Amino acid sequence: MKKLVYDIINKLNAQNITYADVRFTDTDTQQIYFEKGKLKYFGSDMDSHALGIRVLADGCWGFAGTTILDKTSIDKTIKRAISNARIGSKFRKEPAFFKKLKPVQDSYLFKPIEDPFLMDDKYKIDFHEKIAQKLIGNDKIVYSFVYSEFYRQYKIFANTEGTLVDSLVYDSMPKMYVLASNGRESMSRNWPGDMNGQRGGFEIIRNAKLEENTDRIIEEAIKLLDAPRIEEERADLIIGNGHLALQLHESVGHATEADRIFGKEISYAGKTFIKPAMLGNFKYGSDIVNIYSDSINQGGMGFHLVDDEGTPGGTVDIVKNGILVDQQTSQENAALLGVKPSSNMMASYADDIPLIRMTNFCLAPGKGSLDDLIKSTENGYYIDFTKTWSIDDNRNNFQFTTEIGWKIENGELKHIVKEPTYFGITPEFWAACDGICGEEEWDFQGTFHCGKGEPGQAMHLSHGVAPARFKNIVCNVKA
Amino acid sequence: MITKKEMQKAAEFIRKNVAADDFNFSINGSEDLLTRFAQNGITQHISGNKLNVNLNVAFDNKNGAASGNNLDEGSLKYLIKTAQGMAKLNQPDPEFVGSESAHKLPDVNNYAKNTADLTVEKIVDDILICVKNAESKGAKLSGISQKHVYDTFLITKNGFEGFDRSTSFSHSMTLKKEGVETKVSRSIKDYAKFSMAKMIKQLNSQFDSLNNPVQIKKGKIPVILRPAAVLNWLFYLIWTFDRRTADEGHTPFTDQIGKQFFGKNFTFRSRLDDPDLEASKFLNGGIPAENIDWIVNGVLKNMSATRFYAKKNDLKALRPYNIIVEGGDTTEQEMMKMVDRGVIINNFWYIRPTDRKIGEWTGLTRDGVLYFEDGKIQKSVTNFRWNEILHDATKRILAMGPSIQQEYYAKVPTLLIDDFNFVDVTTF
Repeated sequence: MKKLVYDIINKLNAQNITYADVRFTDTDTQQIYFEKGKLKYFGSDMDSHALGIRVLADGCWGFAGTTILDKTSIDKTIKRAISNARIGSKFRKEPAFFKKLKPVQDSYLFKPIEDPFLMDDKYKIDFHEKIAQKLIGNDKIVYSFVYSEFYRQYKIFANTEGTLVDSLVYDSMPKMYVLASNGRESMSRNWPGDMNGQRGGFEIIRNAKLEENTDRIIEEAIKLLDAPRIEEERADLIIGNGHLALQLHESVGHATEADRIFGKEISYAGKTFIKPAMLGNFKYGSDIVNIYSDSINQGGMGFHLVDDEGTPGGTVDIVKNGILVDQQTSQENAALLGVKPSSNMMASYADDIPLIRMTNFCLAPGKGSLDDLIKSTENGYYIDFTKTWSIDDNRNNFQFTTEIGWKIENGELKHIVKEPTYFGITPEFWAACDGICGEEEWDFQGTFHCGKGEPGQAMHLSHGVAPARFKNIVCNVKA
Repeated sequence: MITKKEMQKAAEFIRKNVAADDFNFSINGSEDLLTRFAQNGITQHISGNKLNVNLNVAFDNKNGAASGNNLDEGSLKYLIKTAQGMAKLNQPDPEFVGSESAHKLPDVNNYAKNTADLTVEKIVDDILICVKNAESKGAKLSGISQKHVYDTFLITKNGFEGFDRSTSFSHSMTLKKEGVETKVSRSIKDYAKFSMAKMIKQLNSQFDSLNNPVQIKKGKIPVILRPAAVLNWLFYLIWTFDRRTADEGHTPFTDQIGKQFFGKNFTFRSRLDDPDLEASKFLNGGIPAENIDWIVNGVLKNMSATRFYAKKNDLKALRPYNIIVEGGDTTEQEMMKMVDRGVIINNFWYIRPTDRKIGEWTGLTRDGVLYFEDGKIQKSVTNFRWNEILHDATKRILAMGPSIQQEYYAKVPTLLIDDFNFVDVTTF
């Protein structure tokens, strides 16, 4: 395939264009899904090829993609990418920003501990069946599933500047879920949480300790049926890693994607409350809040050697000591903001256009254990395991609900509470953060399903987080 | 784009080479032209073909599935080998239903040559008119314009063969100037029936009525929901509109079939014979689509069902393939006079369930909110967060406008609803 990509680059070099890049992806996925103890779906999407060509000509970007890789289709795709750029250039007021980057030639081939695509399928089925069987049998559990998804993507990126990088990654995502009902209401519990995707192979499924936690989620789902709701209007909340990753994702991650500042995603994914003038002075959170974009930590699904426009991976502070200092950017948007590009232009498949996407978007650890944080909380709740979430298109006003919470009194966890719901305004919420646990509690959470763009793309990305406490947060307002 | 002949050739290969007792084989192909614009300029042109190939096989009642995006013989052989290998490993599926046999399919035309022939140059011309309009207002325009041609092809072991080619053109644009921002979007099957002038008129009308928004108090307030908001809301109602989950007690629709569960003036149907709307020829693995009433005058008549659940319970294995909500004849001006005060909502955003059993949802408003009192628009107001039990809200419908085409698959009216539950206000 490298030869195919080379040949396309050579054809593009012969055209009168400013720049072009070519991406090729070959993607495999496999899903195993047991529902109510029975194997409901076992399927694969194999060897799905895609090719994308992005051209800068006459000051405008043009893109064309295809999944058909014969000569006719490829030649047509080259022609379309160029003509798309030329037609667009007639209506562009300012030429698109473009800066030559130093060529990179490198390769990154991730090797999982246990390759799910080479493993015996029967073993994988038996592994999940054992868990599925443990989720049924209790008459209060009316629905259950256990699900795993495996992903492998080989990618080649090359451009007319001489960059040629190929990479192979594996990501895996386990989840199990039970729904308890007493006829009047239903309560769910899942494990290991909604942000459950990780870089790796079958070892990710093993590390999730699904079997060891089946009894726990069944017991908690049933107990939640009779558990009280939070009654206070305001409370101190300690948020566990699984849900905090989502809070970070929605209220900081998406808010600091620079294309939103310039209205480039306004019609669908929305915008952001952030304005360019806020960089360097806007108080986004309390002094202990440090948030960064990191595409060089190989532990997360956001790792890459170069992004999908050739910018080498790196680490960029987004919020430093509570102050908004930078954005996640592409080359073009970075130039508009007067900052360095942050290597955040990514596409799901080669026939998708790159967009500004989170990579490994992380909350830096503070100090101390979760136990320490709970012990230092006089009155509040520890909440985790996302149930539902909603945030406005400026990424400012949100309402999140988790499946479960635990009342904290005088530094100790007490009884559980059902479906804690809390409201907030993004900068006020992060300003209320008065404690972040240390490195010993910090880990990567992640999703396969971050949606953005028109047409829509789903991105794999990670969030490094440690549990954090937020003071005096508005809770529980029902219809 | 892959031709129908190429699809049939692949189908023949599958027929000859699948050893399993049963199979479904589908091919979905698409061709797109898409132009994104922002800040009054075109930012990207995208074009491309996509192809998805899916094979589901069964040995007795043991299933296996595999998919890919290639139709060459080597890829199809790999597909067969993988799907059959998986089926052999699988456990018997107690809910297995054999594949569909040949059916006479309804005569539905989802294809419009005017849309299929649309060129990128014409799309750009349209966008340019919109940009000029924005510039005349000193505002910035962002959005997307897209042509989509889509093929669906399905064959089964038991003799079903179905093919459908559909087209759609969609255009959405957001106009923004300082604190004022609003959006219109529309999609249509036949580009010949699309009027950019009408869309610009609607955009300007929304934009001109807005000014720098001020906050008003949250609480229960009458709302006029414009069609985009009504449709957005309906998506979420339909999302939970499954007969089995209702019968198993997980949604508010449990034991409500045949009962007056919605407001008396609320009627929702899917229709094959509406010339403006796309309608699937076949659903759920080869079930011929038919006209179906979901809710009539507030009475819940039918719900979505899988083939297994439909067969077990003598139901129709259908789902809402298009959306027609019956309207009335009340104008927005008349609605404003029917209540003391209220707000006009252009659209909703980020609707999510807060209690699936009760049917309670949360969401926000977007694209501009107007406050009216004494029968007149008084001011723009900032966005709200709401928490509502959506089916209950239909019981508070006070008036309806005419049902208009909002998308290529939907016609919905403007609704006046009393006491909509706003639980928070935003600062923008």
